[in-house]
Amino acid sequence: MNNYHQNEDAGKFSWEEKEIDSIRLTMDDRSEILRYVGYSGQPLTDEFESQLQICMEKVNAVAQPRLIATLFQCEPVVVGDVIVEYKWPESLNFLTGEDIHTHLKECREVLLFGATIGASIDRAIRVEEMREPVHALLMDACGSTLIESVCDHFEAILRRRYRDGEEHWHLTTRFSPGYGDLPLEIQNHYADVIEARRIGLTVTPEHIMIPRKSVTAIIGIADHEIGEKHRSCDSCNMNAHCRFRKHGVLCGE
Amino acid sequence: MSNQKFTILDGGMGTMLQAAGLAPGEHPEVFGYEHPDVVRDVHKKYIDAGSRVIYANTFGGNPRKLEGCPIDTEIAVSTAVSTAREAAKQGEEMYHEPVAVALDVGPIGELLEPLGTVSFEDAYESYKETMIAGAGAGADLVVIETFTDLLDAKAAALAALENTDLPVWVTMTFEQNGRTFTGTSIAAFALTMEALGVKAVGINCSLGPNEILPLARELSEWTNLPIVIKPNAGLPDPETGEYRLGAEDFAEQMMQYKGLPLIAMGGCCGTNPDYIRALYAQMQQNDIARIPLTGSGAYQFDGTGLFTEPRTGARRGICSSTNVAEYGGVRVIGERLNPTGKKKFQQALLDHDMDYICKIALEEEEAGADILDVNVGVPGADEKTLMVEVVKALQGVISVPLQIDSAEADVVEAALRVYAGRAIVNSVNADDERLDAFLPVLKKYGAATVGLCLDEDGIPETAEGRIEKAKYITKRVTEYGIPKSDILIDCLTLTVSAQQNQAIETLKALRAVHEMGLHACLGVSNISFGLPARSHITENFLIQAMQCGLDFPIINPNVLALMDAVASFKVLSMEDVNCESYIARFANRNEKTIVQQGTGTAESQASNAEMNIEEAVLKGLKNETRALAEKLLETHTEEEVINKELIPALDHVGELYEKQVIFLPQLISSANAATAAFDMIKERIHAKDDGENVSSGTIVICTVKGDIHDIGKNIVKVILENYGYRMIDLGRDVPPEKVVEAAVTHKAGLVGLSALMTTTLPAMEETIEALHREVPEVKIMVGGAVLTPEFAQKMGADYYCVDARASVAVAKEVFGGA
Repeated sequence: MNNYHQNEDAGKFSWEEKEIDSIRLTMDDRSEILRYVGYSGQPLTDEFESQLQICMEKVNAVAQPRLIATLFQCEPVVVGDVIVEYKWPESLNFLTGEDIHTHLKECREVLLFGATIGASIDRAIRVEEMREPVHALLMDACGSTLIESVCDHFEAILRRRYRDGEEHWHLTTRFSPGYGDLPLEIQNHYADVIEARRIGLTVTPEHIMIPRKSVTAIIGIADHEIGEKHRSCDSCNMNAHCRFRKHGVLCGE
Repeated sequence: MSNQKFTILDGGMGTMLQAAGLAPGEHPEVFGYEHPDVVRDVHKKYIDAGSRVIYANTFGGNPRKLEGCPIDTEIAVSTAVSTAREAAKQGEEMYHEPVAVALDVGPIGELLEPLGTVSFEDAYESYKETMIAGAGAGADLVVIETFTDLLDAKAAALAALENTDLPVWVTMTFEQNGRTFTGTSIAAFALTMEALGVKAVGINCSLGPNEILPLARELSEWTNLPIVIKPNAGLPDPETGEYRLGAEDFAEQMMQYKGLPLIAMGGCCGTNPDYIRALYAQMQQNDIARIPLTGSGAYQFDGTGLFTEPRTGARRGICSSTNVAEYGGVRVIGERLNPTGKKKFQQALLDHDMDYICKIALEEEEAGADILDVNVGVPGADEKTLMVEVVKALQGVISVPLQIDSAEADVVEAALRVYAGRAIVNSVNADDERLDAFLPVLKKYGAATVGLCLDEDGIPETAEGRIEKAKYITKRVTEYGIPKSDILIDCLTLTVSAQQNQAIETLKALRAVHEMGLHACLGVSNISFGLPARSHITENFLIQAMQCGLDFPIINPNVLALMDAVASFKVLSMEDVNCESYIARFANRNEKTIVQQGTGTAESQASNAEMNIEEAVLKGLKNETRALAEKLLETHTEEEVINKELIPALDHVGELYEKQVIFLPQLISSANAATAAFDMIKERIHAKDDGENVSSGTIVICTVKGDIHDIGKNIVKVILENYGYRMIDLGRDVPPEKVVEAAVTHKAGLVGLSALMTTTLPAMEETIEALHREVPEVKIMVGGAVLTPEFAQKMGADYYCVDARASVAVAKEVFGGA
């Protein structure tokens, strides 16, 4: 892997911007949106379908997906001629707790990213709260779905790139501040480390990300398969419209 | 021979410091404090390369960013400015040319309300510390840069202008679509900053020279100020993550700015001294002189000497952060945000019910108003506090610019201060006392103003008398240094049923004002007061007035006929080129079946004769529910309709939701449909007995301090409202003391608190404690994704609500009934 910039132990990770910036909700995202609003198979009226359609379009119109990432190199610790562990660069020491260490245990590289679909959607939802509360609820669900979609697409791009790279490396799943014992309190420093301001992503003193529809997540990269084997596609409820398979990869690859 | 001259700024600082060992996430100011020699060396390299203005390493030097760091703002900023000054001094000795040191001010890094949680006032205080430290340390100018939120930039600019004597430059960061991340447009940025009195505006970061060029051209159309450009070294390369442009390419691209009214150029992220050296070389090849900014001693800049003549002719208008109402053509000012004679509006102001006010504003905006007049004068409330609250609430949801309507200069100043844009003030008149109080405020914030043709002796009865007042106002305003183009003369509408001869005088005066080259505004509706079928007179007068030169009519934009008249006028006056807007407006209009928004019609009643109210609620049909309720009221009392029809219908919907026969959006739709009927019934009761006693109980609701998730809270509010409870919604991020105050003021029986984050649960607990301590009689219910019944109990809450539906049961238990 050398198609990224290495500067000492940290560098900007990059990609074709329009691959991320152009992501929008599609009909494939409908079921996920419905899940966010507690749908469990009730009959849907035409009226509701058209409201959902309007809300998806409104969100697509104002969304501005942006993503920024920094890639860190870990230092192999060699005993004899065996690599016994990978040592994190000092800049990653703010990632505290056992869980993230376990998650990234065998990784040679660690990628920190932040993604957002922008501030305009927050404003649009606010306006809708006053005009049409149902639309506000649906647009909120649309926003949550879209930011997940952005993260999935990015992860898929990443997986494809590493898999197809010379060394066929493997990725862990995404791990976000607030998961397990990785405290939410690191969010502010995290944002500084990845220079989240460049995509308009900010964190309040209470560690909440604004714009609201934003995600930070960590992915580890190893030279061998790690963790559990990927789930069976057959049992996955995203099977019919998997974002990963669109990029020719599997989510656990 | 080119007569163009720029000064050369420096290039990127962050990139250089990273190369020298600054770790990701480390504060450059702290690094600079620990390694002043490294920073000085970077400055020196830029000066050697040709920079004559260097930006001190103070970008994040503010108390909010430095929270938890070993050094405070004063030390961080003064160290960085001194370091830059040392380098500048060395450079001056070597090159015998002045080198200026800029205090570099970046954003605090948190979004302001309403998108974020930082108040304008807190942001200002933070910037103020930086400005005072920077000026004290001897900076030559202030450069506010890389901002993406206009209000945030305004807070910084005011902090600089009010606390230092230094010249201030402001450069914002735009995306390729010409908007910042938060939607600020180039025109709004230019208009707002020039109004405040900064010395230069510009664009930095995010894009390369090629991408910024069209944006810089647009900027130059909207300002007479000189422009500053500091682009990145192109866009990042997807393969390498590096910026794409090399030094030579960067410098070559920068030469395309030749001909634009630039005062300075440099580089931002990804650029280094090589870029600046290449830039200087290109300037020499292109006959562009490099100028220093400092003469002897203090830096002086008045814009002259840079251009053969000071520039004029920029496009003008007023603006919010996203929309500009440009001068030239008819711009409708919506009149509805005004409590005069409107009981519900008055009550909303007294209750701080911002939702109600924002809803009216949204209706005006959707109807096509270009500007909204805002008046909050109501007995029993502090106008200044209320005006600030309303302006802040409005700019969170409204896109069009505002007109601040008050007779008090301090109210106007408070509003203009927190306004993200450039507003109109309504109003001054020919009374010297009023002018003396208002002019300094207008000047300071660069606002446009309405000038009423009257004075302390009243309204002159003749057109000539009013023209005289207009002339006097114009004289006083322009003498104060405010451009004539920012005056909107109001020739005053008198009621034709009382003083019939006055309409002609108003029109005559209008024509004269128009011929004097002034804008004219006019409250039109008053003309028909006291007459039947008012809209005919109002519409006719509006058309005549526009024909006489009225370009800022103040009307109710939700009266379709008036907006149609404006649309038609714009066709005949050639403003609506090719009739495009007119055609779009009427394309889908069936002229015969226009139904005034917001009123149930006999037709819809008839067509739904088969449906009962429960079905209508269940289906979420607003108009039908209201119409059916209206029909029921012919034979039933209000109480019967509420208790025997609407509430049972809602209960049924609630049961279906619990059984998962319907899901959340349907529950909300139903609640919303019922609201339409409730609102109608409430109004009837109000009209009948003047009483207010329709509510089954008062509930204060909010999301706790630090938390900004409010969708769940809003759902609870909608549902409870429909059970007839009076909901006092304090919004989100609400401190405990405000909750206590509201519970006391509104004599609430129940308080609902929401929190969605584990990190904000302590704030919820604190609020519960405060309520128990200060208002022991009030009951408390809590809800939110991270809560459990056990945790709610542990925190001392009286009730835990698993969902919005559960809150109804709680309210019924607390208040009894149904």
